[in-house]
Amino acid sequence: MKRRKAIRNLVLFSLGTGVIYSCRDKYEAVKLLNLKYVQAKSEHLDLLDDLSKLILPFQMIPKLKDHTALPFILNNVDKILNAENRELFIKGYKSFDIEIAILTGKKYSEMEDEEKQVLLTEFNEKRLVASPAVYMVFDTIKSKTIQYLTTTEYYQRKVNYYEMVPGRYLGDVLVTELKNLNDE
Amino acid sequence: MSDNRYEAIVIGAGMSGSWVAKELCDKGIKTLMLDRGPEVKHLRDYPTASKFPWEFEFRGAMSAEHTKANPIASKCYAYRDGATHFFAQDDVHPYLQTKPFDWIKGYQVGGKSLIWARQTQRWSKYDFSTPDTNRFGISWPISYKDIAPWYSYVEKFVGISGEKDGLDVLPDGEFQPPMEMSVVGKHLQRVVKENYNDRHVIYARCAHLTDPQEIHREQGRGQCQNRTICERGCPFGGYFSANSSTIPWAHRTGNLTLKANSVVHSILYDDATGKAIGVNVIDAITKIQTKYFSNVVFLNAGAINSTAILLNSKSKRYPNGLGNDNGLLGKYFGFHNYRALLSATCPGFEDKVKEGRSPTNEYMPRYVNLNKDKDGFKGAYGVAIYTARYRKQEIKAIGTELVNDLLKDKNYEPWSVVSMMMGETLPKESNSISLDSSRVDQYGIPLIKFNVGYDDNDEKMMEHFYQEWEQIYEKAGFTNVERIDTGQAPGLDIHEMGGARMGKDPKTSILNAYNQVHTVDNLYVSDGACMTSTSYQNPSLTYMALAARAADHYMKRKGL
Ligand SMILES: Cc1cc2nc3c(=O)[nH]c(=O)nc-3n(C[C@H](O)[C@H](O)[C@H](O)COP(=O)(O)OP(=O)(O)OC[C@H]3O[C@@H](n4cnc5c(N)ncnc54)[C@H](O)[C@@H]3O)c2cc1C
Ligand code: SF4
Repeated sequence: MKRRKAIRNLVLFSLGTGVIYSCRDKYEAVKLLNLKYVQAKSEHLDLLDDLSKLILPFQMIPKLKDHTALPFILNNVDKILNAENRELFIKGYKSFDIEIAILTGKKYSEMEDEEKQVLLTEFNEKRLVASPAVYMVFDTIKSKTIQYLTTTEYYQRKVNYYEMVPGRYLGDVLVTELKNLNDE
Repeated sequence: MSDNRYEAIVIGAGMSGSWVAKELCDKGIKTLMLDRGPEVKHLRDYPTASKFPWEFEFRGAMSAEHTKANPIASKCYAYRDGATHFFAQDDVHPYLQTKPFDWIKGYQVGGKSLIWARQTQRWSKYDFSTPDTNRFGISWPISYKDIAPWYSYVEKFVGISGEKDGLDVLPDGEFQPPMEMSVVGKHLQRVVKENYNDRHVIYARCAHLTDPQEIHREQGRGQCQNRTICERGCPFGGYFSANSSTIPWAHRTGNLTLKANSVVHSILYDDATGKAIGVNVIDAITKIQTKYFSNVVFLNAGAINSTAILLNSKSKRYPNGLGNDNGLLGKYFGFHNYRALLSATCPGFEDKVKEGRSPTNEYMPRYVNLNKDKDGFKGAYGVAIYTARYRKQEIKAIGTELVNDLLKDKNYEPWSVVSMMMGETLPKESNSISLDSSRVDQYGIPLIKFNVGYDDNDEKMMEHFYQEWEQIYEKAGFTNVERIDTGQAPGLDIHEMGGARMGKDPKTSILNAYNQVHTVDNLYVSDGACMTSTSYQNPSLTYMALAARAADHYMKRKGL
């Protein structure tokens, strides 16, 4: 471990600060992104954040308890999604509450957590007869929250065993003998 | 030396040009090396080299705006978050296509040596004689024996990891210790050995230092750390690039002047002496034109740009481009056919994985048409074999269950394999590049126009590969076998070759056996433009060897 640390220190580059978003400053973080297309009101930001946390509550992992995927999701929607899907997403979060009320008799924002769970399970199993716009919100939030979690430093180091300077490669190793160098 | 006069001028500071510069500077020749792109200094100019995946804005994805502006570069597997700054942007560097041609460009000091995949297989005696034995194109003016010592020379300096496999179809070189095949690679190797006499699975040789020697330490380079993010530049100098190796070496001699942002418009030719006398350069930023003069010019701007510079170098004696007496300049342009893939699942080996990341892969050298074209098509192919075992991502659930699924430790998909045919394409007069003087770039230089396509021979070769490899997979017990034709356009293989081919006869070629223009003996075209045929191997090792050999030829003529 010492050797690897030494090698890392030899690397003459700034390692960058990384982009970590915490729940507490999510409004500020979204503002800083200067989004061109996604101009969500705070009630919509809360809705999207809530969906993300219920679909994939990675905040249960102690090291990630302060994280939110919201700014990452919105940045992706704004800059990576094609125009058609982006417009659908925007339409979807604006009409989400109303549409869910028509479908279930209750606005999403007024639901208890258990009710939300039931609703999201129906979404996930594609059993809900909702509009493509509302489905675009669910599907995008699910896939982008997964991408956020699986690319966090925590996930990359502890689950994926990502190493910048492992100093070795082995082609033929028993799964049971796999080592996480990050733990050494 | 006056400000604008040098002994030698090298056009292009990439893979091949940097080798010429190193060789000349080592022997005390005052050399000017020009490159159209910006300076990229080893270490200093690798802004993303040590960035972690989670430090990128989109964590591996590309913005829609960026992809829209770079529809061609975006097709390249290495054009990804963290390396885009080492690719020339499509919207800034336009070109014309009569048939689709995906031109991937690296315009900077170091050229594409910064972003290459570092595969370095030698050509064999069979490869140099394929045009003769398979009856196409023209004969090479050189054979394996001529280039073998130069392969060794370059390999020692560059540092090539590889096994001594003892195959005459893929001669051994001066190797650093090999890396380890995957368990599935070893299985395939065994199966092929048991079933075939003429085929061999090996681990592909690559330009990575696995055991740096004194010559590499002198270059300031260290051992490869298996990060496989090489296209961002390597802080360890673990792989060979002009920036980490040949350019700083040439600089240290005190004989190199390197001018970045210097777009060579044309080569100056003197009708009276019949010699190249210098170059006409446009500053990429100020657009100011300057002339530089020298006793010898080496053209190493990459096969396409070198050919274009020759075509654009017009004089009374050469109205159709320098050295173009026979009208063949720009013709017989070649590439590699990388369209055919065969994928499969590899049952068994569930208890095994790879640990860490390998910068290379399994490989099968050519086994077809060795001594004549007997396999229903002409030319050779080899096969790159990619074996992998991916982490399983179970994403069906939501909520806590989904978190738990994603966190499952040591949860893997079955092993999988994808084999890719690396096919030789036949030199054809109709596969050509030319200049369209009705359209010019930002420097007033005519745009390059491509007329390059596949033919029936390519299709037949693909069919042969599919059939042969389906049998190999069956013998290996692989399942879910699927043929894939990526349909990719020529160019995406990024192995640009020909345009000013070498040959014995000035009537049918542009260059002689030492890369000199037949009729202008102080002008060397010492990059891929010289290739008489393409064979199937990744070509840059051959380009470097030919470049060093051409520089040596010039120095021998000078008595050095
Ligand atoms: C993603 C990728 C993977 C690759 N993988 C492999 C591999 O595994 N093995 C292999 O053998 N090859 C590989 N290649 C190809 C390899 O990079 C090229 O064959 C090699 O770089 C060619 O060397 P060169 O000197 O001819 O050109 P380059 O290295 O491209 O250098 C040419 C230089 O000339 C400059 N230039 C161009 N025009 C002008 C002008 N008008 N005036 C002044 N300067 C000019 C350019 O800016 C550039 O710096 C790969 C390429 C890419 C992009
Ligand atoms: S794989 Fe080796 S050469 Fe490539 S970036 Fe990593 S350490 Fe450098």
